[in-house]
Amino acid sequence: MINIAWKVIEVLALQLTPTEREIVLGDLIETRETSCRGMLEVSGLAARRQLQLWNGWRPWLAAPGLALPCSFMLMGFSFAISSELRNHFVHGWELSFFSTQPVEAISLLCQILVLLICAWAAGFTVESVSRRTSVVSAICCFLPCLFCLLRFRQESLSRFCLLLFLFPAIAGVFFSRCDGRINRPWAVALALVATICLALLAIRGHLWLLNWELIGPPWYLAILPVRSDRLAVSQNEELFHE
Amino acid sequence: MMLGEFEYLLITAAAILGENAYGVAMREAIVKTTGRTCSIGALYTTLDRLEAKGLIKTWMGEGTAQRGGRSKRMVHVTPAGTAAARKFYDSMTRISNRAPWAAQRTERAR
Repeated sequence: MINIAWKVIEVLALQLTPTEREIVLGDLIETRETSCRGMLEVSGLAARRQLQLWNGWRPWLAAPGLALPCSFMLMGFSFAISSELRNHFVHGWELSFFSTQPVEAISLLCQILVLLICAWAAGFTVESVSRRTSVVSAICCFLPCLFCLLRFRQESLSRFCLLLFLFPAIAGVFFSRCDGRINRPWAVALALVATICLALLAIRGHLWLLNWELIGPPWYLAILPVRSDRLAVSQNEELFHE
Repeated sequence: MMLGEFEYLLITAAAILGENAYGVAMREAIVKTTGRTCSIGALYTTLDRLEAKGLIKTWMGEGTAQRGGRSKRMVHVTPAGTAAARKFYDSMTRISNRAPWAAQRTERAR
């Protein structure tokens, strides 16, 4: 088999568990399959393994259940915050804004807190619920972004302001990937802050009913350490990995 | 527990190969005997399913130079696997006995 083709096969095989990778690559060497056939075989097995993962509820919850709707909603928050901040920057930032327009200031603060907490918690939750399908979850997150970026018609703002939420979300994903744990008092505090902020925004009429879904991930984090589910999550991940 | 056709083929190939039953050997046996292709994906996902049902047992064998030092997945048919394969075989034989395509064969055997 040509060297480059073999490298491609090895890269494709990275989608398999280490044990299975070892077996399949050994099989390909032994049968001296052509490079094209080898790529097909490895991709076929990887595709079957991915499809098997979708037999459970976790990938469905992570990708279309959380990543897709949260991405849409958090883009709304990113846009609202960007427009608000732009207005203040254009007219010169004044600290007196907080004393002259306290309600507006609180509303802005609430939006920022919701964006930070919910995006971070959503990233963490999506990653911890179904780690092996994170590519599909990422696609579910980026598709709405692409859809909105292509239709963005606001001249005063850069279209990339819609992606503000990605920074805390990606931070949440990496925190989960590094097996980060958040202690319960902090998680409960964050969930409470997010809930209060959403409630305040709802009272001000700045909230769409479906935005309440954003409260799911922070409360998942708050409940996670005390539920036996956590064990199930880690056991599930172990099973998938080995 | 009724087996599927491909499951039966795998169990039979593993039983025939005995201690030498592993992925490549089983694929070769199936291709040679039935003339149908057997992809690595189909093979290993079905082996997983059979193992989950308790019909086979698999473990990592030693690597050989022929495989670039990489391990094999060895397969052993359990008593439950043998029973399931026998049941499948009996059912197929019974139902095929009076089938037109089996009649000639039965005549020839007589």
